[in-house]
Amino acid sequence: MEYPIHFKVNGQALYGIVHEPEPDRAGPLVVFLHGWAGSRLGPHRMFVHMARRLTTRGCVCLRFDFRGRGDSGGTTTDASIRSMIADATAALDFLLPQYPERQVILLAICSGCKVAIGAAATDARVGGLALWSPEPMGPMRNTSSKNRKSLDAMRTYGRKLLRLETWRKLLTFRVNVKMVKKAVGAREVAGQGEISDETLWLNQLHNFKGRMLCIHGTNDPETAASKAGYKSLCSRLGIPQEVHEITGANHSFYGLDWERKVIDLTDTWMVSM
Amino acid sequence: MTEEKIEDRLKRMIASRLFLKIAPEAIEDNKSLMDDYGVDSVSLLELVVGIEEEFGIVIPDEEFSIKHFATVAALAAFVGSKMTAE
Amino acid sequence: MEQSVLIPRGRETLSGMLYQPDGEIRCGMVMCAPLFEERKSSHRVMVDAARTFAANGCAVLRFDYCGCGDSTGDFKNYSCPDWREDITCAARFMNGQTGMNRLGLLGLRLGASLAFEAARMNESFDFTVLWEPIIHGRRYFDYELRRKLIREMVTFGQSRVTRETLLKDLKDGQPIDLDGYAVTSRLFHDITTIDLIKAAAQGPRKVLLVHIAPSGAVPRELSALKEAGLDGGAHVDLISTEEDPFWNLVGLVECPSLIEKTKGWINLLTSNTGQPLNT
Repeated sequence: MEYPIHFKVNGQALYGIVHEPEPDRAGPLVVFLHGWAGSRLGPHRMFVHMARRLTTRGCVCLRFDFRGRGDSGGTTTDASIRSMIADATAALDFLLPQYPERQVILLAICSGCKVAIGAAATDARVGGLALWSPEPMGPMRNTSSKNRKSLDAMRTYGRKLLRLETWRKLLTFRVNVKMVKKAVGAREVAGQGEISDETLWLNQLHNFKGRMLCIHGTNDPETAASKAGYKSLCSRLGIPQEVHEITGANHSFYGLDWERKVIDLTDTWMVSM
Repeated sequence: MTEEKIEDRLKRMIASRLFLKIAPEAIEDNKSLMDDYGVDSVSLLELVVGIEEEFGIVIPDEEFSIKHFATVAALAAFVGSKMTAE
Repeated sequence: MEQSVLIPRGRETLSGMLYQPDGEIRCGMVMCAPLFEERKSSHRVMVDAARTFAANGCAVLRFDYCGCGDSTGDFKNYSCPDWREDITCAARFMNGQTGMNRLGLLGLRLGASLAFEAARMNESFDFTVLWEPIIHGRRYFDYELRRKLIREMVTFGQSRVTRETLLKDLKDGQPIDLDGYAVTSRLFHDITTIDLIKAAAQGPRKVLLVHIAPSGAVPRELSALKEAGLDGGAHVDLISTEEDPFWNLVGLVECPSLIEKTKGWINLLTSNTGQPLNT
């Protein structure tokens, strides 16, 4: 069964869908965390397909839109990884009382993986991390990464796109300029403060006592740095990690065959949890 | 009257069609369109359509190669070769 | 007030969001989303629009077609005629929820084409707003195929297929993978046979056509669509808004001019009748 839900964070409504298994099926509770420019559907409905598969395994799944994204309240310019972590925590606060005694897994894609890491580092309820195309965080970041858009490009790109009121707010410093720069782009770009946050979350991940799954595409420019970074992290912190590469896949697995492989691997890992 | 260089026509088109609000003349010939100017797969489609309309050429599917779209200079060479061929 | 809704649709269930005005409901509208990546890119603008229209007295239902978004069903099992029926189903649901028995449709891109056809087949729709409609499906499909080639180019350095090979597969009855969407030959046929100009003579009766581009003249085919509608006796307005094609962009985009102009046209329509569109 699938049913819509909403919960509030700082007075804003966040909308989502709960996928419920047949009664008396007791799998993990899986919360899906989408990427910066995405929504609860995931790329080409990938989250929907995954959630429906996991429900057949007895999992309860929640897919929701972060504040300022999808159907949820809030503004995009106010969003940040920090606010997304707060949203993820609120999602757990909302759902867990209805489904107690279930192991909590965060399943994330792209920059949603940073949210998952940040949440796992600070919330003892998180028992597993399934990360699709996790991006390098903190010291993992490669400043010469070909995939980072220049802030200049994003600034000029954004100038046209925002309404006058937003720019008025910017000029009176009522909107965080860095947030706007981040918001106008397809990919989240970190300022120095955010890199510090990411480093802190990575260091705090020793609080996380679960297992991690990482799936990368071989044609994702970030895979090399990301794979090495998360492998080193898990090794250092003693986190059992399973890693897979999907041959030929790009960052968001834009292909039916790639999607199917990611879903199959995640399904198998979930069963083993 | 001097005919406008292909590079300059491309820069004009890139700036307007890809919604980059930098002056066309500020786009450098040999800087990476993707890394330095934020052109991605979504905006590349606009670029392809724009090039075909602006220059009256057809880009065959077999010639969709990233090397042609790496920089303005590479793109100009590619467009020039298509114009000569046609 | 906004709320998530589930709309029964035969064996399937459509997922939607209903936005209701706090005060008097002056009209109702069903919003019809585009497909593929355009749906993702345009999502937030559609939400902003729905909220603005609802604040202005127009109840709005946004929903996902069968096999799309949060609705049930597998994408490969559905096509345009099914989605036109979904629009009608959504409208019936909205009538039940709001009491509005005269509603309008607003569609974007292929959603506009579907809205056009749904309104053409069902005269009970009171107005139709078409944001940058796909007028000729063949050209649109070619554009989507090119998008796939370009994504391959970015991923692999070179495109691995051609439009010719993809089209051959479709004509042979084989589905193709359009960047994670299974496009069947049935869907290919239904999209590529879209020709709104041919259908305009018996098209919807009160239409707002909106051209959305940062600059430039209104395309000839949009003007031709207007003329065809007028020739058929319809009331057709054609406007332009200087906005970026948000359905093809990723990240934050705001389209205040588009939303305000559309709101203004709907207000005018309501005030011209002297009463809410519920009679």
